[in-house]
Amino acid sequence: MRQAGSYSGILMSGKTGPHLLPLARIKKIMKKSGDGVKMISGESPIVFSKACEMFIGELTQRSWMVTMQGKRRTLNKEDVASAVMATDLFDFLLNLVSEDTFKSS
Amino acid sequence: MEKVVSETEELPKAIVRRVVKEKLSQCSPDYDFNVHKDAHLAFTESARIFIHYLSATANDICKESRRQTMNTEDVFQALEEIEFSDFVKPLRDSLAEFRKKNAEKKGGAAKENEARKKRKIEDSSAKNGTKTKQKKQDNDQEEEDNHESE
Repeated sequence: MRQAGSYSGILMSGKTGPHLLPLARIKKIMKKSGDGVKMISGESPIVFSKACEMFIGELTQRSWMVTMQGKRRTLNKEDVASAVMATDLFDFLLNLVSEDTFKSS
Repeated sequence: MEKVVSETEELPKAIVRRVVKEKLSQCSPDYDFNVHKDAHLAFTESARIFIHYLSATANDICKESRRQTMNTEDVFQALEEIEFSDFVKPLRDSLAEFRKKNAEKKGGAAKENEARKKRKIEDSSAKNGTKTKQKKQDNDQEEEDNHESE
């Protein structure tokens, strides 16, 4: 198991074990979010880190459902795209999945 | 549309991979799953956009309250606004746990500092004790010398 080292993050309790999303990197991404994201409280990246994990989990789960519907065992990017299009909650990702890089070659 | 994203703006792939694999092992307990590397890229990109989206929303909320610094309450409110309200309760619990752990750590560290300070003081006072004794002896010697010279 990896020690904290250069990453500081929160430890998730429970069977899923520790997850470490680097707070500094999250801060950088946040600051590029738009006008005026300048000052962020010390605890905010921690909430973001965990929210991000939960989001990835949610997206993964829905994408996997698409994979299974296709009776496959390999999750590919088209499954992710389908999950995004099928879920209102992921509307903010529609731009991403409609890009050429997302469409199957 | 050209998209150039430098490494520093992305979440580390290894960690995103781990989160995905752990989720899938929950969905598919017999571990019969595979993830194409393009899908991993998709997850990483999506996470980045999620952070953008959430922080832009939280920032708007912060501005509306005429504050300079985004705080955790702004983030929770933003989650509600972008319809991720299911996330709020577990996140609040997680934050409370983190705060508790941090307080314990600080408390522990503070206690250690106190103990260290105490030891330092004790050590230095012990040294001082011998010094003053030595000084007294020297002074006495000086006085004696003075007397002799008179």
